[in-house]
Amino acid sequence: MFAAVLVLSVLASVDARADVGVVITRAALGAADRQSLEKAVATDRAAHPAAFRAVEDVRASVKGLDESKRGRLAAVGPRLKALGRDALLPMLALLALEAAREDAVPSARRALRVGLLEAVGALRDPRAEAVLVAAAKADHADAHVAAAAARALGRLGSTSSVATLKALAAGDAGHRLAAAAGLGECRRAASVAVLRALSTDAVDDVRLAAVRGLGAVGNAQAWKTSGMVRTEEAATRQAAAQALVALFVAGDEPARRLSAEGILLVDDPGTPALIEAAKAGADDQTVTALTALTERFAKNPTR
Amino acid sequence: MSLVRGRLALVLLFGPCVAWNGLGCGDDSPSAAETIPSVADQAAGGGGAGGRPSAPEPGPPIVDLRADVNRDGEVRLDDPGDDADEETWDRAHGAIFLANIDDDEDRCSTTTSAGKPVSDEALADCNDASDLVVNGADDEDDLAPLRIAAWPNAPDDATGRVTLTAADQKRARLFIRRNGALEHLPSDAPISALELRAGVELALEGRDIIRDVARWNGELVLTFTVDGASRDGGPVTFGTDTVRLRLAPVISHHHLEPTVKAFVSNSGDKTSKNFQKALAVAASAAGVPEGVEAIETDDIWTQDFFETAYMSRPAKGGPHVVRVALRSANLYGNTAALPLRSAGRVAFSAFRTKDFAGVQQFDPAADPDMDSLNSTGNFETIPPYEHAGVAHRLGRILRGSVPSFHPDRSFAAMLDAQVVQAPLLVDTSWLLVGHVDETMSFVKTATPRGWKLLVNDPTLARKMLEAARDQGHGEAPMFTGKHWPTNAGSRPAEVTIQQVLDDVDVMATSAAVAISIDEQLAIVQAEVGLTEDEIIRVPFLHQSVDDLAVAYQPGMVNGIYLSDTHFAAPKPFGPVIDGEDIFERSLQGSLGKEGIEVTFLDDWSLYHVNDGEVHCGTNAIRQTSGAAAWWEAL
Repeated sequence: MFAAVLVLSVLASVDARADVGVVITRAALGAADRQSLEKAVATDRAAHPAAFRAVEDVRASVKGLDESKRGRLAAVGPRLKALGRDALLPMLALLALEAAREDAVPSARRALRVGLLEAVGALRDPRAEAVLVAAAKADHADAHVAAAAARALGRLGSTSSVATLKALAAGDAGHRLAAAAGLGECRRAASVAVLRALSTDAVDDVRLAAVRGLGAVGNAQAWKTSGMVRTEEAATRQAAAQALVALFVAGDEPARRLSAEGILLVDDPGTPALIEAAKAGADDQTVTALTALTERFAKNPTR
Repeated sequence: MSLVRGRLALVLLFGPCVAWNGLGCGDDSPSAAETIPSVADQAAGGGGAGGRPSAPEPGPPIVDLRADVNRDGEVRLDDPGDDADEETWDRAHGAIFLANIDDDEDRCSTTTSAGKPVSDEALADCNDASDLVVNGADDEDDLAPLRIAAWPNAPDDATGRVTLTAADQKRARLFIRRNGALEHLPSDAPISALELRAGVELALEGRDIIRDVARWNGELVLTFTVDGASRDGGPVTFGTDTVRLRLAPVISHHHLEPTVKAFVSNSGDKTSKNFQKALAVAASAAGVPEGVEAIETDDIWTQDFFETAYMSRPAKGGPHVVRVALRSANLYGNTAALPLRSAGRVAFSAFRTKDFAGVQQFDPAADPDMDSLNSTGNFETIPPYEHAGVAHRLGRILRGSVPSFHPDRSFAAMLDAQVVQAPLLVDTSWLLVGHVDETMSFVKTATPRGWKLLVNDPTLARKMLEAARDQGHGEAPMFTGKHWPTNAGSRPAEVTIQQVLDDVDVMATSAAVAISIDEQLAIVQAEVGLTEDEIIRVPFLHQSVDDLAVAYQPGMVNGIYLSDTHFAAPKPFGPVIDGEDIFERSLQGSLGKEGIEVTFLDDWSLYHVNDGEVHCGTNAIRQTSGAAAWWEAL
């Protein structure tokens, strides 16, 4: 009897692990999406086994990277990015279909999860959308993973990305924080309005993340890279600049500093006029700060 | 020397009619020299008429404790400079003593009798000040000399005492020379009349450096008192003298001090050995006097686990210098007995020896999420400068620290407590690793200031690549021949200029980094008064990990400045156009104008892929230019 219970519990735990990817459970994907992914992975594994070995190779090195890490997190993302587009399906398989093969310390687990999400997000491949939507929606105990998932989804820049992140922005504080990070990477005009709303959030961390997000969503150098669809560039950067100047006027530290940084990052040509207009009705201290901002904008270190 | 009490004692002893020579009134009074028998005579039983030896007439008391108040390296009884205002201390005068925490006889063990490593606490606790003896002739040089002037006529019942407050007894220890050797003199221990008559040689050691200026500012007072019994048997004080001394601070090196020896970790593998060889060649070309020494450790980040410094006191023939290795406060949580980063033990196991001290300071409860900032790659020193009427003659410590992301506060307090290099803090919280050496360095130049700041400029890097692309070189590769290593092998890292410029995340991150570096620069410029032509911009891009920045290309600013004319930088593996790496050409051009030759070291596989560069993987001891007159920096 005892042996039967033991066998059943072992089988149950195996089943539990089989339902869990590194970042999300299989159940987090809709049935159709899961089947579609499983089929694509199986096909790709047969066609490109080297890519799967390569991703597994990086995964196997995470423990050592974590133990010898120099910064706050082992840099797994760049290693996965270097594998190129062939690594997409192996990485999606790890994210959503395959359990971690061994227990890892929390920092190593975080490094792998964040690294996978960053590398998948960097590819900006629509095939990743279902997994990234599920990853962004999932409840993550680790805020770093939640933010990385949201950022990865944001990088897709799709209508679905915007909708998912907008819905997250209406959720609890953890989801709103992740949403702010994700919307900053989602370079669409619609992101600005949501970020603007989050920039008045009652929770300081969310508020400040949204201010950072406004700078990121309008990042002029990001928009200028070829491959970016630039139809919404002018509108996004203009709206972001407007929001950031308003926040600069209204905000205290550190919101004001983050706003200034965002204004430089967005580098919208209309910014000097916005700053001048903001001086009207402002108190002397704010006018002085706005004048300094104008000088700083003129010598923008991003140009 | 206090004369008032001496005169009072004379009156009590001899009645009111006593002249300053103590022999009674009247012009025909013999002089003291004529009537006071010598110590030898007293010892022989002679000294007075009538055969029976009599106590010499005391004469005016001489209660005079002297130190090297004028900082000429000697204690002279015939030099008023060693007496005037000795009870005060300022940048112009006052005696200095050293924390005697080196190990002149190499007696401190790093392992127990069972061969296990001693605890981190025990490791740091052992030094020449941890016992009650002077550890050999070399140890005497580490002690501050003091002298008690001879009072040849000290009465038999005269007893001298040199006292420290209870608090100061924990900070310093006195020694007295007896029978030719220095022995411990506890506070308030008696000094005999015989000794007082001959004069006394003393020495003072500091038991530790200044750790927290809120608890102790480094100054202490020695009070020398001579007591005796009056003719009617009651106690009397012949005199009191006080001397104030200050502990020498720990001074960190800046880059205007040429490298004496460089250090690099030897982790044993081929990549490490190749790098060591390349560094040795660069050091030789730079004329580094003692070359490169390998530290046997798996911890490849040699810059991170210790910082070199020094302390000094005036001595005859030039300052007496004791070098210091400051162990990093990295908490690796190994065990309760060994909580610190183990490679940092070299501060004691390898460096602590004659005239080289090891120091550690850490808070076991420090926030582990901020631990990266405790690596000493986040500890640099701005060279000396003067701005807004304030001279920083020894320069200033530069560290990454903001209220929300800061290094160990007790280590920071220790640095603050040294006073002479007031730390300047910049924000490095946006960096994955978080060290100031990732974005800034300093080189000597023939300019009025004497040096220039090297600072990372990601925008310059982007513009260089854009220009190359616009000239038709978009397909030129970067990182040629380099790989990302993994467990089973490696993956090529090569990308083209166009691919880099198309990388949204690298472009976005590099723009954000440009703004963050600009903010760092604004702080340094405001504090130092640097002008734009005193800044050398070093181009390399950044990438993001967990929304934090790390060098995407080998960060050329993160090199080791080996001598006035040689800088060893990470090889950038940039695009080669017209036979030249455009990034190498940029740095060679910038530093070449200053007469500085650049050697590029391949640090890709050993350091760059692991989020560090040449500077992170090396360390140095340098010339001690500030030893001679550090007090002028106060």
